[in-house]
Amino acid sequence: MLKIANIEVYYGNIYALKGISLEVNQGNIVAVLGANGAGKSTLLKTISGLLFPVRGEIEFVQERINGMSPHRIVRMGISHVPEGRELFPDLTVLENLMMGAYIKKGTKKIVDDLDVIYGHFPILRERKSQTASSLSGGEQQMLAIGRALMSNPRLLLLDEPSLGLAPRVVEEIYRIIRGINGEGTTILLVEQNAKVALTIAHYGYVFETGKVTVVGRGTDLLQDEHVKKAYLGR
Amino acid sequence: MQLLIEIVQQMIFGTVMGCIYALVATCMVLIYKGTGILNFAQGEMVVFSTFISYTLRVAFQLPYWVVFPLSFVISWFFGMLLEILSFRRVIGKPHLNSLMACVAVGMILRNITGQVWTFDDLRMPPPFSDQVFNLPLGLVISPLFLGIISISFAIMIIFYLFLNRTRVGLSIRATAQNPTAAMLMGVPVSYVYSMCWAISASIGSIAGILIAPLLVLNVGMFIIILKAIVAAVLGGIESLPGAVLGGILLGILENLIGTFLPSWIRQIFVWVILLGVIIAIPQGLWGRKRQKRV
Amino acid sequence: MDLWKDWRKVLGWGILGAVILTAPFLLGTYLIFVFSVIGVYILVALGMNILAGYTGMLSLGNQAFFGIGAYCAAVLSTRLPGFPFVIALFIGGLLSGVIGYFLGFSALRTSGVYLAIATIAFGMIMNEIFGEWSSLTGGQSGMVVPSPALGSIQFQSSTELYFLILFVSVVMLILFYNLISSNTGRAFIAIRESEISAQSYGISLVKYKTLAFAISAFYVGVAGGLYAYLMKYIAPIDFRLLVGIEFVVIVIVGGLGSIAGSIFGAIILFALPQIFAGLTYWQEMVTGLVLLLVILFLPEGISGGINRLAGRLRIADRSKG
Repeated sequence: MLKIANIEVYYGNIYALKGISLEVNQGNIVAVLGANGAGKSTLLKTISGLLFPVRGEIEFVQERINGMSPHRIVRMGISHVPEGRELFPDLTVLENLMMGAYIKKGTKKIVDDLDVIYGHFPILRERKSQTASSLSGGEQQMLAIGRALMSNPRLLLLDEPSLGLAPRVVEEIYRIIRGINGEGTTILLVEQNAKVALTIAHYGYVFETGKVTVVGRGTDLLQDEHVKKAYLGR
Repeated sequence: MQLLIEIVQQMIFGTVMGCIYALVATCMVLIYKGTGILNFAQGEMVVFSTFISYTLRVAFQLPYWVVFPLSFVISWFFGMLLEILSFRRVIGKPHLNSLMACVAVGMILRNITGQVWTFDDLRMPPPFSDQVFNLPLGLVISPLFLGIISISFAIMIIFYLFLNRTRVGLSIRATAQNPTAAMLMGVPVSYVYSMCWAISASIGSIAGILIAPLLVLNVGMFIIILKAIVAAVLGGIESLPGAVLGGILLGILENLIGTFLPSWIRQIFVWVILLGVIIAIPQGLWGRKRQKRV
Repeated sequence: MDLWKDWRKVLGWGILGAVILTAPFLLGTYLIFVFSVIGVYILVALGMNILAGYTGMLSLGNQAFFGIGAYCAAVLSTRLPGFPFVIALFIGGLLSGVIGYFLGFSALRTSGVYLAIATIAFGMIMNEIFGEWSSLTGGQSGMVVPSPALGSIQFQSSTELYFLILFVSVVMLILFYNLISSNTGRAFIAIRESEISAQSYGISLVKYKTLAFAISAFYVGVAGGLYAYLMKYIAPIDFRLLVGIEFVVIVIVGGLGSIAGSIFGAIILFALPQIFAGLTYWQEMVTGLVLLLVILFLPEGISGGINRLAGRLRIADRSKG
């Protein structure tokens, strides 16, 4: 579904991605792991169009998307939940979700989608008239994911969904992510918390300073010695 | 008793002027919230569109109920044009750049206005009768006043509804709060910026038509923008309702002070208020405290 | 290689110096006047540069200090004939500096756009005062300024004024250069780059911001005094908001944070109106256009643009060799 071939990306003046190749098959959950600064967020930003590669190609369902502007990429079916969530702080939960549906026409469809989202994240229905900034960390993450789902993406990009959240909350969110994948959405997620990411990932890539160092099935990576030592704390 | 009547009278005048300040302040706050630029050229934009309205009314003899919407539309495109030609390149750059870009555009616009029309005074026919009526208790009012107040409020209400109850308005608010996220939602952020300028120019043009008959139509009228800045800061430069309240408050205060104190103190008073607000309550009376993010 | 470069530099400065010193004897009165005006505005530019260029603070109220310095010189020289002009200039500068210091204090809580607005307000207030304090300033119609004096000696001719301004400018320029190279100067630059980082290095924002305002006001005040002597007549209209805007335009067009830039800016801003002297109505448009084009395409100003150009030429040079 998503094919990335040898992309090189600069983040400001920093040479962040030094020739990355990656593949995401439809229906899978693919995890990208690595330490801070390894280039994981840069990867997602490049896919969603916030950054562009100086070399290499990105193909999404056989169409070349590198260099496209973000608002066209969203319309192709890729939705990005950025690091730090990037909500609209003074808009209500409902308004945030409505913004997620920006590219959709037709109120009935949007209302139906809202119900689906509330199904995944019932707490959002409760808080729908509160401003986004008044939510807890976990609720904000749920809102961010819910908002991204409102555009019915085929591919969902998640940047560090567990960041700053308590383990219980992380568990719940990952359970929901797995559920979303079960309903047919392909997921590419980036995580520092390798352990939890690998519990749901079908495939994993490990990034180290802008390069891919390990690739494999989720279950295999959990057993890999290097991964275990560096990222699983054993 | 006489004093009380005088005060009420001044409050009436003040509300009228205040509505104009409020409109222009709203334009500035919209651009500031949406694009982060403080539009120092707002005054010149208002004057330019007012001269256009003048031509529509006087040269083409169009009735005012045509001039208002026509001017609105022309100014809409005019605002977009300005944004595309100059302000687009200044978004996100240091304040110095955007401020001076606005100043530059203002100077150019002012000069063009004077060259194309005139640097002298023009008399703008009023959209409502400026005949003065005497009310009981010796108060004075005129349909022009009422017209200004009602149209101003109508615009502000429509604008409020547009911003808060429509999809487009939502996208403007969202972009103002987080342009990156807005991009990821599929909002064509540069269109949003253009629209902020377009709306600003349009509302400004209406404000110009309302005020010009009351004062005199002249290239130097752009000074009003300084008062609008005071109103905006007073109300809280990121708060739209604040701009409205700030404008009206300023208009009333200004007139009240002018009644009791010599005119030069009244001039200084406006600036002293501005300084006071900036130093003591920088977020304005209706704004929220900002924290510096690291 | 080095010797060659130095040789050229020294020659360059020598020629420039010779030109500056002999100019008044070769040129007509009008041109001497123009050069004198440019000298005054170079001083203004230096002052503005301290604020905007080195510390990164934008002030649209400096015309007030220009006025304070001007009126100081005018009043002192009128009320006390023979009063040494140097002292009058110094007092004007000092008064400006002190007021500037307090303005800086108020600036501590504001930044960016708010600061600009606050300084505008300050400028408007001072302008009103210039106009209303008739007993001192002659009110809206302004006042006549006697020639600068040193006891019984009077400097009246344009040549004398030229050298006077040159002298003061050179002194102030040397002071400026020392300031920028000192710790204070570096503190200013640190503040411009990032206030928070500067604080973490132990730089007191209070101390340096107020100092920047004070020194900048001092320079502009002295320039104001010179302006008064040069023009021989001042009125509140000389110190209106547009003037303050022109001050900022000088440093932007010339290039923030560079001495050469200040000089460029002063020349451009004051050569232009002279060239367009016949077309007064176009003056504002041209100034606006120049400013706009610079902001849009050459944000570092002309000196910055030249630096960039020189950099590219150097790189091209090296790739050839």
